[in-house]
Amino acid sequence: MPMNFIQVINDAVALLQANENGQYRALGYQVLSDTPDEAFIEGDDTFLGTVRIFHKASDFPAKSGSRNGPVNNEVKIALEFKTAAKAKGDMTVLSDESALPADVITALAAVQNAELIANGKMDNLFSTVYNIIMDLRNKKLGSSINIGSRWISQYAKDDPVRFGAIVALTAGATITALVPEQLSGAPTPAQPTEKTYDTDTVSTYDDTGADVTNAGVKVTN
Amino acid sequence: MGNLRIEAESDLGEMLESDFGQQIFFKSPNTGNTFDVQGRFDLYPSRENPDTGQMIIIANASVSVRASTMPEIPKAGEKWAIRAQPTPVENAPFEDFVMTPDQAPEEATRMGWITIFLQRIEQS
Repeated sequence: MPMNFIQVINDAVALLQANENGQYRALGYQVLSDTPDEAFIEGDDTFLGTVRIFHKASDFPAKSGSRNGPVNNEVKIALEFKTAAKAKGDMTVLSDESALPADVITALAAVQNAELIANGKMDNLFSTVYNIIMDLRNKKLGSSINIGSRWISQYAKDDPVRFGAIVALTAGATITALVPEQLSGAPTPAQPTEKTYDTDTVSTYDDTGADVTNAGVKVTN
Repeated sequence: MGNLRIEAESDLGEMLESDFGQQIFFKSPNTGNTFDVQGRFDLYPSRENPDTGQMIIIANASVSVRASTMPEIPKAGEKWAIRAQPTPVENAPFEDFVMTPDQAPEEATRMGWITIFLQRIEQS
């Protein structure tokens, strides 16, 4: 029987997917591409990026269970965020080759660089996901399993990286959830069938050419 | 025989501005002036993967120009607007970029060849 944490992870993915509202895309365990394409929609400031959610580790503390009751599984669920951004500026001036110098200076001074925009999007993405996970209505992470507690214990950003002319930013967070595991016990081993042995008629060979007649035991069924 | 460095810089002009050349527009944040020079849009490889930290090749967009043709040299921390044709076909559209503010052009390391790293820009 599969352990409860598997169901909890699947339910947590479904919970985030159900609350996307065009702000992000929630993915289960899968390899992401190396490009920022999936984390960026041109001209869509509402879309913040992607979040990948999957099982990272389980701790089973000593004295975590009783002889007959559930065992506590301290499940670490990884959240991996990815966002991407372009710089922003007043393109009516910057792409106009006949723009007045004074307007160009003003427009260039107001350009927001992509790293800053990506950083802001990442914080908004994390805030959105944090509020969903920590909403009291989601204390079981959308699962029917009776989770004892859940909390987000860490949020850390990586360095921004340029892909082509777009800046990508990744970050990670960890959800810890106390999941009770019911012991279903080991499956009953299959009973061996009764064998009939014939010790008289076994004939075989070996590389030495020696007579090895009756050298072994033959199982006849 | 003339000075080799001067000849190399002159050869650089042949590489960047003759048959390989393309028009690149710059807008200066200091004067507000627009000027264009011949240069080359390119993808400059670096190696990193933000997901895993593994070494892979990623192409960074850049333009390369000869310093001696530039009326003004971009510096780290400045925001320049740059228009170039990323696609190397005839009548390809010009696209808008800004200079990556924290990355200095690689002046004086390549015989007068400056590489300017670019960020895409969209309407704010």
